[in-house]
Amino acid sequence: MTNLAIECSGVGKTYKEFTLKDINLRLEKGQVMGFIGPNGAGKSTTIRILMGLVYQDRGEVRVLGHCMPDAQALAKRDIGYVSEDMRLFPNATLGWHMGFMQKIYPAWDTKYAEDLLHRFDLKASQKIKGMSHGQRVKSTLLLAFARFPKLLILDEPTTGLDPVARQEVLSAMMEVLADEDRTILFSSHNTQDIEHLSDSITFIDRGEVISSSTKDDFMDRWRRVRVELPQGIDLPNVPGVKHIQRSGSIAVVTTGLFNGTTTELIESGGGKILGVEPMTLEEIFVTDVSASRGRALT
Amino acid sequence: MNTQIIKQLILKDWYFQRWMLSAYISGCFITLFGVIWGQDIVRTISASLFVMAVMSLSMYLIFTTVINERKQGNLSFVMSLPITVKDYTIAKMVANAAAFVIPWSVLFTIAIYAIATLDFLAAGWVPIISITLVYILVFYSVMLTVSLAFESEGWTIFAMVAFFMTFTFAFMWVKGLDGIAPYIQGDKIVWSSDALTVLAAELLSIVGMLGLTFFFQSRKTDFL
Repeated sequence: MTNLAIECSGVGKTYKEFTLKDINLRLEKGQVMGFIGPNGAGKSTTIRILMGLVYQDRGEVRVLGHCMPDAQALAKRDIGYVSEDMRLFPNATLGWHMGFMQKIYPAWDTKYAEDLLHRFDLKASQKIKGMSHGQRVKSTLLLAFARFPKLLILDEPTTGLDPVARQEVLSAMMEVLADEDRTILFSSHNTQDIEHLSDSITFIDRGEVISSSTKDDFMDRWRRVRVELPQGIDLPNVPGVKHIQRSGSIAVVTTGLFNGTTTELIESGGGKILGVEPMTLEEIFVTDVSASRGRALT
Repeated sequence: MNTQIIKQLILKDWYFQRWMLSAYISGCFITLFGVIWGQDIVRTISASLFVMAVMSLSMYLIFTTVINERKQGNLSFVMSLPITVKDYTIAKMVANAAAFVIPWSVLFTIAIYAIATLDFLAAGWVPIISITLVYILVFYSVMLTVSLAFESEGWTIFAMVAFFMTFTFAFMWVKGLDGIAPYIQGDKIVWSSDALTVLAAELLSIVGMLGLTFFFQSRKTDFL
C-alpha cells in the first residue's frame, strides 16, 4: 500500500490564458507540504484538480490512494478542504452548519467542535452573514477540522485575516499537526506561515513547479555569499547559482546548492569570502521565481 | 450515488427556502382562487397574476438554489463534500422539482377541476389552460437546465426573458389552432389531435431538458 497521500504525475490543464504544465507532486502521509506561488501561479488550479473540482487534461492524480477525478466522492470522505473563496450559507447559523456536517461525516467530533468554537471565539447561534471575514474563515476551518479528515487541503486559508485571527488559525493548525497521521497541503503566498508549519515546500510559478524539497533542505542549500574579487579575477562557476549582483569588486552570489565546497571553490578561484548569509523562505522564494523567469525581481 | 448526502442537500435547499417558498405558493393559491371565485376585472387581473406568481415561483427557486449558490461561493463548500457532480445535479433537480412540481401539480389539478366543474369559464378552455400550465413547466425545466448546465446568471436571465416574450405568442398561436379554436367556448372538453400533439411536445421537451442537463453536466471538466 502506498505511503503517499498525494501523488501527481505529469498533470496538466490548458485554459485559453493559462496552462498548468506537467505537475509532479508527492506528499507522504503525516507530512505537511507548503505550496507557495504568486497570484495566478496555478496553486488553486492544482488544488482543484486534487479535489476533483477541475479535471486534468493530462496526467494522473491519486489522492489517498483514489484515482481522481473518478473516485472523488470516495476520496473526499477523508479530505477536509478549505479555500479562500469558499463561503458558507449566509442565512444559516454556524450551529446549523455543524449539524449539517455531523449528518454527513460519521467521524464528526462534537466535543472537539465545541472546543474549537470556544477557542476561535465563535458563537454557534450566529448567522454566517453577520460574521467578520476572520470569523467566517475560522468557521470553515472548524467544520473541516472537527470531522478529522486524513488529509487537509487548505488553499490560502489565512489570506485576509488580521494578525490575531491568523495566529488563532495557525495555533489550531499546529494542534492538528500533532496528530502524526494527519497530512496537510497548505497553499499560501505568505511564506512565514509556510515556513512555520511545513515539512516540505513546493514552489510553483506560471503553471510549473520550479522547486520541491524538504524545508530543511531549502534552508540548508540556499545561501547568499558575499565575495570580494580582485581585479582581473572572474567568479568561478558556482553550482546552483540563481542570482549574482555585482558592485565594483564585490559580488553577492545567491546559490540554491550551497555546501561545504562552495566557499572552497570560490576561494580556489581567487575570490575572498566576506560572508555567508542564510536566507529566509521568502527570499528563497522570490529568488527562485525570478531565476525561473530569467530576470531579477525587486 | 451517495443517497444520504443527496438527501441532506435536498433538505438543505428546502430548509433555506421554506419561508419564501411558502409565500410564493400562497400567492399562487390566492390568485388562483381569485380566478375561480372573483368577478369580472378581479378574475382578469387574478388570471394574469396567477401566471406571474407561478413563473415567479420557478424563477425564485432557480435563482436562489442554483445561481446564488454559485455567486455566493457556496458551491465550493458543497462540492467539497463527498459527492460527484452527478450527485449534485440529482440533488438540485430533485430539490427543485419537488419544490416546484408538487405545488404546480396541485394548482394544475385545482384549476382544471374548477374549469371542468364550475361555470366561471367554459369547459372547452380545459385543453388550452392545460397546455398553458404545462408550458410554464417547460419554462421551468428550460431555466433549470440552463442554470445548471451553463451556471450563468446571464444565460438564465436570457432564457427567462425569451420565454416571457414567447409566452403570449405561444398562447395566441395555440388558441388559434384549428383543433383548438372552435372548441374553446364550448361546454365540452375536446382533446383534439392538435391539443394532444402540443401537449405531447411540451412533455417531451421537459424530458429532453432533463436529459440535456445530465448530458451537459457529464461533459464538464470545471465545476468552480
